[in-house]
Amino acid sequence: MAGGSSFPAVIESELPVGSVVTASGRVSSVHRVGDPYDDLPFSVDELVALDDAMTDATRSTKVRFNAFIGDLGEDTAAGADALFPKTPEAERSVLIAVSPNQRAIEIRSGRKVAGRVTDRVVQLGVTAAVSSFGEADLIDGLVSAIRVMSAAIAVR
Amino acid sequence: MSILETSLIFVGIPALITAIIAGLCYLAKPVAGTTPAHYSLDEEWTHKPVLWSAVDEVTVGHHGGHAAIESGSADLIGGSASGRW
Repeated sequence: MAGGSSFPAVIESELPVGSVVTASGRVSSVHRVGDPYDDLPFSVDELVALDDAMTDATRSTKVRFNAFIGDLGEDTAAGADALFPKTPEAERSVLIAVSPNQRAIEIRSGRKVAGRVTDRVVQLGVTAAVSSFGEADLIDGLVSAIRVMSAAIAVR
Repeated sequence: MSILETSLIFVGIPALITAIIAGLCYLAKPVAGTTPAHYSLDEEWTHKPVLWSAVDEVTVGHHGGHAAIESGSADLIGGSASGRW
């Protein structure tokens, strides 16, 4: 993430009860029996599939693929525009942003790869994702969007 | 002691004890807490935002690390598309 770093990164007195900063700087916290785990609501297989798709796409195209799930606000296009510069290596990347509560998907590509990832290519990604999203399958839609876009721009 | 007695004592009893302890494990919950239910797109998204990236991959050979990008500048954007479902 670009910018916005602060020191110290972790303030020990502000950590929740049962947390401590260890000698290496890692934060160690207790998990109380019965508390819900703060995990992602996706299965391991889905996360592996997404990870594989992103790695393959980034490797074959040399364009970084980023995926975001979260609220983009009422104006999802403006939300995606504001989010894009904060993503890793934004200028050479493709951002697939999904706002499930607005039922909206926004795809942005970076300026340095705009010659390859054109408006038509990102539109392909939107089309691929939306067909899976219609069946309520979030990860599957992301994977198809990444596959379609990377296949369209990969150098052979 | 016959062969049968020997094998019952030295194989049968340990096997029985192992089976009892293994069986008890199945009665317990696999994790000491609840994991979130699987998310389907027709539900409301209540989790924190997630950003995934294949950051271990190298795209271009740059040695100086990431240059600071001024956040909020929209002129980094090349192509864009939106969709709803």
